[in-house]
Amino acid sequence: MAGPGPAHYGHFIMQTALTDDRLQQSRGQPLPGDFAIWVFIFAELTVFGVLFVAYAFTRSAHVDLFNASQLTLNRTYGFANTLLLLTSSYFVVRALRAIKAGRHTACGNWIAGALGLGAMFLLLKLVEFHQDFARGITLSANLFYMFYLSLTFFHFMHVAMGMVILAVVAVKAYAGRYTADNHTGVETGASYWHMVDLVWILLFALVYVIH
Amino acid sequence: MKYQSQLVAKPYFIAALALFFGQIVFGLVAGMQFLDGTFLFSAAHFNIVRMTHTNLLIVWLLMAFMGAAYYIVPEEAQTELYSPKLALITFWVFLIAAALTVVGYLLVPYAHLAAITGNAIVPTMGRGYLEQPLPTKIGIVLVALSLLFNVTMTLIKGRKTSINLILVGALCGLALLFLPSFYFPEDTVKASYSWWWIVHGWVEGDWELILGALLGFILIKMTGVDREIVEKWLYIIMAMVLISGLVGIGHHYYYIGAPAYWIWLGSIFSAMEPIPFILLIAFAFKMLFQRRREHPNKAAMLWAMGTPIMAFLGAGVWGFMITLAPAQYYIHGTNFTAAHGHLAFFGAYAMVSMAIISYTMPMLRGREANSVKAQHWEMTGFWIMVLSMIGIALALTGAGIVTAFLQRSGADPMGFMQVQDRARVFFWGREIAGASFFTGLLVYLRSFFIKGEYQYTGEVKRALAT
Amino acid sequence: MKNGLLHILKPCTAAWLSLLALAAISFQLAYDKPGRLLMVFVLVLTLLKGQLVVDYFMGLRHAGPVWRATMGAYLIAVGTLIGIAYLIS
Repeated sequence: MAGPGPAHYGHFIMQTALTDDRLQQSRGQPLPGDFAIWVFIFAELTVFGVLFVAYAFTRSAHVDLFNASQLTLNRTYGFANTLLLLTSSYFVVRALRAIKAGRHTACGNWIAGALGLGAMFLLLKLVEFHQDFARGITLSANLFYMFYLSLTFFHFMHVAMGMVILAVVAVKAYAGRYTADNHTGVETGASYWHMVDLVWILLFALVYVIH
Repeated sequence: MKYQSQLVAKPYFIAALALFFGQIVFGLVAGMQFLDGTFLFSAAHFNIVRMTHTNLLIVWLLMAFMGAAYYIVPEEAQTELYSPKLALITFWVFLIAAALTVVGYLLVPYAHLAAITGNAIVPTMGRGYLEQPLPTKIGIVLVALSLLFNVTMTLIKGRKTSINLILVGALCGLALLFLPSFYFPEDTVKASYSWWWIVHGWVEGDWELILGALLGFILIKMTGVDREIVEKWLYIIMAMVLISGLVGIGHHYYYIGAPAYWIWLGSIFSAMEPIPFILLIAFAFKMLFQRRREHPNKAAMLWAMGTPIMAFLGAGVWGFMITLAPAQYYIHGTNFTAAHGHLAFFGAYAMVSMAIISYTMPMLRGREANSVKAQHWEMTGFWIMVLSMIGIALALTGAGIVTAFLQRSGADPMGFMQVQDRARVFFWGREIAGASFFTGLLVYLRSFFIKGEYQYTGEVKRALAT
Repeated sequence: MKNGLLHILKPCTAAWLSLLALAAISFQLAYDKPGRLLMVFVLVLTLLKGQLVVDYFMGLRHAGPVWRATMGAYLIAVGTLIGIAYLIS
């Protein structure tokens, strides 16, 4: 090869790589997945955060009402849903590990599992909503129920959207469209799903537990 | 301009500006009638003048959006428009229908107009901004369908970009959201709901997507910044529009007989509606700072930078003033709302329309940019209109404050007409600012008649001489 | 001697099991008599669960300090505001 010697180039690349590495260690790796989803995630977290704080401060003006109404919620369902979402998030983490090792079918399987648990969450939530409505719990029943239904319904919609995203990821994983070196889509979908899980953790504690 | 068929945008833009002119004339008359109730009383009643003012606004903005679509879609899709002929026929249908409607408003008593245009078949007349007779409403649907058909067929055979997908998608939404105009129930609460699906759905949702697409297109073309960067920003902004705006419609449901939970949901979500406008400012200026070229059309760049700022002021700031339920309890339907409406409509939609016209019109006339002289006139027009509109907003806000204190609060509230009397100084301020705005509009329109294109060599010589 | 559990379990698995345990504790505490201290405890527990999800599930423990600070700040901000709301009631 003609021109400035390859050794010179190699040395330059080595230097750059070392500097990059050091930079990497101090800056850390970039956020997993597409950066756009993270802006979306931060936006969603902000919205839910505002709702949670609004709930908390509203409660402070109607403590007895909130405490009394909270006791009528089905905490067992809430707890079951927490376990379901935590586990489905874990499955998604395992799915990411699988694709990082190049095992795209295993990745698809783990996501399918996560989807199954997510579906159970939705089903259980629907059952709970049905029971709520049968007992007269509506958006207009009282302030607590208004928050409870709004928060859980919004979250429900986000779980549904997360499942659509994961379904797309699963299909692509099974089709072998992701590799060990190229699986941004999996990370993107996974990040969104974990956000949904995180919101539920806060929601369950706030609305079902803390009194 | 890369494709011959983009030329169909020209008549749309010209009609848009002509109707804009008409809108302001009627606006000045209406403003005068606030001060002298007998002004043109027999010839043109206030309610007729007002609805002509608002209807002209909507039609000229729609004309501008349609022209923008006919220009942008072929260029983004990298193929000729599916049917330029259909676009031109549609133009004439729309323009004639609009003209006939305005003539109908002005010359025929409204109740009679309703009777002779078949309002008894499907009652749709009588609501604000939706005063159009049934045939006009059907015409609007057909015009929208024609546009959608044309741009969709173009999109199908060409390159699909984010700008194109957002724009065509939003135009679909625009058409669908107009359909509730045919639903006019007896129940006033339900009638209000459906009215807001159109109005809020359009201006605080669908049209914001159009604004994003148009601004994104202009910035890609003028700054040379990577398309992908622009697209990422747009997706984030559009997501925030929908997140805040969909449930944010509740800020119209507080005190109209809707369930009380809307007070909470509407307040919390609509409070976030300014966020996309903040992001739009950040986006526009970031693209400006990262630009890779100096586009000769400085006027268009000024419109492109001014739009997000004025939109944020009118829609974000003034909107936020009236959006929270406790505040709205006192100022609902006062001149606070009028101030917000004027500044937001102008800042967001009139300005983005003028931005797209500013960028494309020279191209449609065969040059990259207008002469420096023409651009100076255009930019002067920009500043006069912008400052005047801020003046209008401030004046109306003053009137709103008078109403809030004298009519809506306190132990002994005054009656409406008494309070209007007390606010006269602000109505004068508004009218003077309005006259100034009209002057700015004339200056702006004059710029289109100044000949000559941008002289690169001349400018270089001048730059080197300094 | 390395963290004993991590010999057998991957970090994410350990995190998951911890989360399940913390959820069970929170659930149990729901049935206990209300009290300021209890409420603060559950809140702290919740933020801890949140941090586990952020670190081990979202994988942010490998990410840059800016992102970790942002998510941490979010949890602390929301937690603090909720705490204040409860303490003033």
